[in-house]
Amino acid sequence: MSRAPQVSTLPQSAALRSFAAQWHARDVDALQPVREEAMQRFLKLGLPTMRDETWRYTDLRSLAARSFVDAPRSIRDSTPPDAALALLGNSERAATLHMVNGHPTLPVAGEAIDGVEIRPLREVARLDPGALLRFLQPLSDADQQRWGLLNTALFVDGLYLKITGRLAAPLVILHVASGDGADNIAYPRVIIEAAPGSSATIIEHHVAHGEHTPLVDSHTQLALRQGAQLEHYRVYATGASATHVDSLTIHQDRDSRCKQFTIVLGGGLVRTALEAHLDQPGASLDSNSLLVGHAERHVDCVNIVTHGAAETRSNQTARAIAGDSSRVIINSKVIVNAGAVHAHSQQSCRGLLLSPTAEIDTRPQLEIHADEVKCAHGATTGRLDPDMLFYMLSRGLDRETAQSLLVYAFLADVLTGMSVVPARAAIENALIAQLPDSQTLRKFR
Amino acid sequence: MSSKSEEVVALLSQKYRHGFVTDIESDSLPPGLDEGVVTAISRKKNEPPFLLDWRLKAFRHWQTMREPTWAHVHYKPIDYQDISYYSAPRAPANAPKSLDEVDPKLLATYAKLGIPLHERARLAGVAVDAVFDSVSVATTFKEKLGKAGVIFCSFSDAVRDHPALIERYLGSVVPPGDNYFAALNSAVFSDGSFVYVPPGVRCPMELSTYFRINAAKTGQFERTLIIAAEGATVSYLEGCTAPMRDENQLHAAVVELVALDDARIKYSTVQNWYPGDENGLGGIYNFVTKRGECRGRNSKISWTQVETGSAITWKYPSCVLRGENSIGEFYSVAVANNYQQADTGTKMIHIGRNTKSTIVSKGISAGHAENTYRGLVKILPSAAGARNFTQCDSLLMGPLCAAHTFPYMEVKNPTATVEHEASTSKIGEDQLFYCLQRGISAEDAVNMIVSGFCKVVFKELPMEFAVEAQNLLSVSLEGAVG
Amino acid sequence: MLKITDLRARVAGRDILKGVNLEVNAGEVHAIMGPNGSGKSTLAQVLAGREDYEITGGSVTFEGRDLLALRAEERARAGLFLGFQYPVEIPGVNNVYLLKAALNAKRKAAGESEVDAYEFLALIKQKMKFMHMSESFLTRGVNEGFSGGEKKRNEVLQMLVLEPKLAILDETDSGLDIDALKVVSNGVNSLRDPQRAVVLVTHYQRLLDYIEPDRVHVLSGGRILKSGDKSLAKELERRGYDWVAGAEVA
Ligand SMILES: Nc1ncnc2c1ncn2[C@@H]1O[C@H](COP(=O)(O)OP(=O)(O)OP(=O)(O)O)[C@@H](O)[C@H]1O
Ligand SMILES: [Mg+2]
Repeated sequence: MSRAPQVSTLPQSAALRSFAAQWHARDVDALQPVREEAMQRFLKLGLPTMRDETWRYTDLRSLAARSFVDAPRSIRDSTPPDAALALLGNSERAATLHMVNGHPTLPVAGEAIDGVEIRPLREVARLDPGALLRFLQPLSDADQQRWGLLNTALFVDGLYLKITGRLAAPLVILHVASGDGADNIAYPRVIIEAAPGSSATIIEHHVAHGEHTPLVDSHTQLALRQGAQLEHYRVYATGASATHVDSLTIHQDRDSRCKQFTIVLGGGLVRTALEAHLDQPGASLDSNSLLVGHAERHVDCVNIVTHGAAETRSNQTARAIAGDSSRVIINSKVIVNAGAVHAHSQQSCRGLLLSPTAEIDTRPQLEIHADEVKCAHGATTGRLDPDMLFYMLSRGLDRETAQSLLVYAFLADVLTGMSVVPARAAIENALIAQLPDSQTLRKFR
Repeated sequence: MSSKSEEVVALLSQKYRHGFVTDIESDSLPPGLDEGVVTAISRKKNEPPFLLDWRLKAFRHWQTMREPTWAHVHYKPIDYQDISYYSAPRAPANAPKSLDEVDPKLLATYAKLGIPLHERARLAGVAVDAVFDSVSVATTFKEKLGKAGVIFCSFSDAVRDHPALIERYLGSVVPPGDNYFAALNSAVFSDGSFVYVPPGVRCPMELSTYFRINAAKTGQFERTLIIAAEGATVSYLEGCTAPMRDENQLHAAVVELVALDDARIKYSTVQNWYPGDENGLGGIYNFVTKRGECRGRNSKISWTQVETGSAITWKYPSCVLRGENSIGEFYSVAVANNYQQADTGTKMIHIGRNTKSTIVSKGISAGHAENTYRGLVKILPSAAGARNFTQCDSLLMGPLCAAHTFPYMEVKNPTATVEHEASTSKIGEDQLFYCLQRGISAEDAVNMIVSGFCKVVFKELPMEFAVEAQNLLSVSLEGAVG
Repeated sequence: MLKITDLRARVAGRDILKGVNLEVNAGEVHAIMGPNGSGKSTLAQVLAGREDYEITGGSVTFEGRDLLALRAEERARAGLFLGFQYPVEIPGVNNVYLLKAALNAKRKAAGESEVDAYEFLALIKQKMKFMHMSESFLTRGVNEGFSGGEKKRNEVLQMLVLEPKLAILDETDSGLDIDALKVVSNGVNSLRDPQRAVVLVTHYQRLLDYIEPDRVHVLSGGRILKSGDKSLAKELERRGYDWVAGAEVA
């Protein structure tokens, strides 16, 4: 039995009480002190509300009233997730690692690949807790990390990947969320460490299986050591009823390069947070977000990049499309710490509204504490450019085609940056399916 | 830091020019705030009952509110019971009827400030209402304005002479409970300026108010209300100064503008409250709510501000664009040096069809200062064809200052276009070098570059004030890094 | 082929076209000249069907049909082509896709089958060669990063592929070097035949040395103030527009 956390006030909401209950029911492991602190902080801070800066546009009150229980550790009917969900064919990837509600389907040993060490987090916690604790700390009270705290307190298992070599083909982590009908919650946790000089492409693909989808509170950490190169994707393709709160933390050492893609194609309420720290000189990050609002979907994308050292570079590109009654939020922030001279940052946030009942909220922010910097951002929200539309019409294209082409072109900035061609094709396919006039669009790819 | 930069640093040491105290007897309420104080203020001013009620309601609401913490500013908690909410220069009998009756010491103060109460002054042709601590002391050019039908008087006079207008428009743009500081102001405001421009009238001269906080331990809570009726046009300028004192003083003003069909209001501010000393001691807390409503179609409200003073500025002159085709503009230069903190920007709320807004913000940070732009552009579903363009640039002078840009763009109409551009950079070393190489002193070079940076905003100011603003800018940046 | 009668149009609340009359017959080439801001581009865009121009009066027929009743894309498919004064850049939309889509849209409207991909590519390459354009332009975004002259060449390329009945070329000669001017003129001349007509909007007599017009018109203040044969262009070059405006007053 684990000790009860010393929390001064009793948790108020049903959700908090259920998290506390999960805490009490779990097995104690070697990570206990850190987990306990995380739990205490989470209970003290509570669920984020719209008064918290990065939650201004997302209302979680409906979650607060629910009582959550652990999602099942495996899929009961043992049907493997639909192969059609795969972004890449067998020959196009190094391996696919399956996680069901955050639990790696073992044995992963069979998946041994050159240049990468793959271990379940549970095993690392048992054999080498010190190594793991380094990743779990320091804990943060920042509101974009709120769900990450809960994940740290309650994740049971997960994946630890250490990239040691140069991987030629991408590695896929297929996250399957599958509930048993109760108010389930899952805490997928992934820690990826890219050793000095290594390089890899990793695709985290979130899908749902079966009728019931748990609330997913996922947390991924990337640590890039000196000179490492990592291209990381997170793709959300769950169903319209799914609620997903994901947080990604990136730490980059000297001269490392990270290319990150956040792609929201599914889900009902999807919150994606990215917190990147360019800790050492020469670190460079390109973060790209492609957010598609469809039907009633609510997408809240938070992107915070901190330049903590001199000569660091970041580039944030976000493209949002909102159709039907969807709402898409782009929250993009660059912080340049004192002393981070010659930091260079560029943000571009663009939104396209396709329906009178949709909404796009954009906040491109700069917080600059050093003077030798060059930081700029541009943001626009609007409709398709009427001049471009007229040009195409005047060439005889019908309106539908012209519009589809322009919508597609709008996304091109992000899509063309993807180096995994088959993944890009698969993502494009899934994306186009959600756009108006998808039939016409397909013809033009 | 380069040696060039250091050179520039060495050039700085001019002091706040408006930091003298005028020795005048004043009639003040003791520090403290309760319903009794609110009532006393209303009584002192012989206000009609509706206004006392209005104040008391605001006060009760204020008591339920919490001081906002979201702004990017840091200060020690304000003790609202340690402030005097009313301080008036003690006049022999009643308030002065004309300039001749105004205490000569007061006039001398304004002369020192360079404020042209008399027609001989540099700003001849500008009608001035001067607010000293809490009370409006003189309004010039009443007659000429009167002929045009323009009402320009102190708020107290307006309450006495035009109670119907006050009752109709007061709080109609900034409701008493709008925010913490607006609620406080609504409860205790003591005076301010009132302007009414009747239909079809183009106000024959620039109107202007100078605010000055003189007494120690006083807060200034003035209230300005400007109404431009159908087809009317008015340009209004306010300037502010305060003496140097070690303790912080609170200034929580409210400005409301109402533009009816086809009306135009241009509101310019040159804010130079005492910013505190080089170590951040003293200075004014400038927590101001300014909002204009384009109530009528084709109306236009334009805010221009040059903010160089105050220890802390918390101010978002805004436009509610309700009328079809109405236009909102915000042009701002905000300078923060030493330990000044500025969190300023605007809100453009697009409600009507084809409404347009433009935001141009230039922030300059130097020393240990923090300068934040915070702006909201909101396009409601009803605002078909709305457009906004925002340009927001920050200039950093020195390694210890900070500049932040926090825009919010909320778009709920697919036919709207909202564009935002921002940049943050250091003053260009190569520009500086170029000037030095041409034999221009570092100080002049910095001034040239900075005023070039601010030019688009200065050109929005009435001519006479553009020069003053430019001077103010160079004074404020003395001691800053190049 | 094209008959414009007392056409009036306004933009952003301002009257720009104030009663334009013009008739263009098959086989003819017309040149429209006139001072900056006189409404030449407005006329061209109105004919092409731009929506934000409000037609406040008059009528236009194109091969006997009411042109103003057609939408922009229908006009294009009916054989009206506008070469833009300022061709817009459309990053992300491939130049060759656009051309193919345009050609197919036109063929479909005419009841023809879609063009075979191989034939299309062959056709395009031939036309590009004719226009002295490098094939690398095919894969770039529409006009994206093209120089001023390259954009104009691309407009003519599109015209050659689409083979319109009526081509309205709005300052297609502006920004071209001498060699390019010849290439573009060749392109236009190659399209000249008794079935087609061309309207050139230009500021320079130079172009008319290469493409000889049947008629020259001066558009000023939203009206056609003067029409004549090609000698009018020469006279204008010598005497300036004030001369025309003066003649009007007198
Ligand atoms: N969208 C618009 N909004 C406002 N005014 C416009 C718009 N389009 C055109 N105009 C105005 O209409 C007038 C005619 O413009 P137009 O482009 O037709 O002139 P032009 O004859 O083609 O000139 P140029 O020789 O310089 O190309 C100009 O005064 C122009 O400013
Ligand atoms: Mg033109």
